[in-house]
Amino acid sequence: MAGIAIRTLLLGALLAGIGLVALTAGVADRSGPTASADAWPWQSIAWRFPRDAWPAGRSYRCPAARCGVQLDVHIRPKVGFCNCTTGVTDDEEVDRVSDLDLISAQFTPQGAGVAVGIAHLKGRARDYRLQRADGTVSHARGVALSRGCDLIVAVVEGSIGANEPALSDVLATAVTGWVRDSLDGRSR
Amino acid sequence: MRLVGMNDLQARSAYQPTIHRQGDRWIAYIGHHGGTEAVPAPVNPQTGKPEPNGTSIVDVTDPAQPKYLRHIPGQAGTYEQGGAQMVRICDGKGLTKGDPAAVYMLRTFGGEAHEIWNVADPANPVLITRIGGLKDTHKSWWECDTGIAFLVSGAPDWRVRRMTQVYDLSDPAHPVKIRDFGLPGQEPGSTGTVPTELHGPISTGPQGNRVYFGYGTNVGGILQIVDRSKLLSGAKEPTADNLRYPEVARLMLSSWNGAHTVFPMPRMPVAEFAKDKVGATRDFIMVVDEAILNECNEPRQMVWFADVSIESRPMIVSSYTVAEASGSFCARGGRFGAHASNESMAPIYYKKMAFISFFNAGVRALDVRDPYHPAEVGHFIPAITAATDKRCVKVDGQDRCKVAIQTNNVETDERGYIYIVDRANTGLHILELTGSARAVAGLR
Repeated sequence: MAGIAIRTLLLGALLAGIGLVALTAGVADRSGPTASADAWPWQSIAWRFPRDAWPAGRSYRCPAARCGVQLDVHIRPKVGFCNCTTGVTDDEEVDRVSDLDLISAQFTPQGAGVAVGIAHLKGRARDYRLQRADGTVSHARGVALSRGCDLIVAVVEGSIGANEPALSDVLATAVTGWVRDSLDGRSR
Repeated sequence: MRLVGMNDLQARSAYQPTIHRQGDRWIAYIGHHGGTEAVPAPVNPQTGKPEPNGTSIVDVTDPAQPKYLRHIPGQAGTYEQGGAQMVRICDGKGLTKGDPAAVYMLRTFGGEAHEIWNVADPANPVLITRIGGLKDTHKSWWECDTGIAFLVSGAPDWRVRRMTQVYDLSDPAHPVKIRDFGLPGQEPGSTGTVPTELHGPISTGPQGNRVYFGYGTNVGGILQIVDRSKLLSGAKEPTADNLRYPEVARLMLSSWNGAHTVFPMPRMPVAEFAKDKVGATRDFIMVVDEAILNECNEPRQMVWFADVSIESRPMIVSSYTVAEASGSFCARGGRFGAHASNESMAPIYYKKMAFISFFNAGVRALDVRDPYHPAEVGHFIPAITAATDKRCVKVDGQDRCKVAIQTNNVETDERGYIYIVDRANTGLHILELTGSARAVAGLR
């Protein structure tokens, strides 16, 4: 089931990628004051995690009122953290790099991951069951995409269910923003 | 430091040199990265054919006139994906089951295998055996007396690309696997956070009974101190408990730094503490990070000295870096930061001088007689040549490239020569100390 859901993400992401030129206006435009609340369920929220090896990323929330359940997406680049030649080729790489441990060190894969692509980045995504420090269990998806030696990784908190299209939309937009700002060196 | 001689190594990107005395000759073995996209397999002038980068064998008996003897091709592929980066040498007469007439070279073959060659005639090496089926390799360690090897490998079912496979290579023709090893959480079937993958180990052998493992390159570094005897004799099944059993302690570095080389310097008398009733002699580990991003696009990767006298409480007590402003190194192009130290424990420099490769800042000679206060006493930055490759960063979506020296690794020989090799294809430079630096090492 998880694999099927992720394939939906792949399709959605690729479709979103087709409209990438339109989306490159960037996350700020889509979540700023001019955004249409009806069309864009995501709101930017603060990056809540402590400083670690990588620069802080960006976080987005789709509240339960819009998505049926609350979904949080945390996304950031990890420059130079990928096999430059092979990219992200196996599920263990997703386990290793996709920031799941920002949320909990205890995560268990729910089946095999699948290949995904957003714009010209390719990688893999995998669903997980998370056990938090307070004992509660939740669901998450890890996504790792590469370009050359660089990664963009995302972790999605919450049960995605019917929200694959909305998730694809925010991932495509955010990935494009990070490619522009970080991998392409426009924020140096 | 003064340049004595050089060789262009056929303009191949170089990773690790090892220098070995064979009779009255001194032979340098240099491991290479894969080729570049522009030149994936440089032409070997000796054969007239393109050959994927592998291992260069150079006679450095006369360091002023190095003679290129042979290139052994490596795995096809570019950069980290191909080549034969790592090389270690052991005499057959030192190994309990080796051919006394043989000189054995252990090398990686790209990411897919380890190989052992007989290089008794260094111009005509002979392949002895191969340990394959791996998803990656890196900087291994081979004890030349016991034959025990700690091979940095990627076992296909492990969750990291690089872990340890312990082998008995006392009979190099017949490798005997002892066990797989890594940090709990890296083993097959485990879940949750995956600890930082291995970079390389250094063993102090049966006498020291410790193996020091360095995990990470430029992030999430870990120094792991392992009881060698427990590692070799403990239960071999890679469960979390079995992996934890031989560990003595670990030192977690800042998330901003890795642990490329962890070089032990045990039982060092520290002059400042000479009159102290306790702690006058101390055990140290020199931890060298690896810079991996061009033009300072990462936290500074440098050198750290850990006092491990109390093994259960290892503590960083000092650090060293090249001063960026001394050469505007962040603007020179390529990587700036530490990469590796020499790993020879020959008496001429051991516990007195350490040599650190620092990419575009060349090689740095450190006085380490008091690891609480390491001091730079010399340096050398080779000149670029027509072969020196460019290094690029993205600016406004476009590649902005510069040509810069990228001193990758350094090694010393028992005569005191210092060998540095360049990642950006500039070749091998053989150096010697001059001035006050010679006095630090006790040289005339």
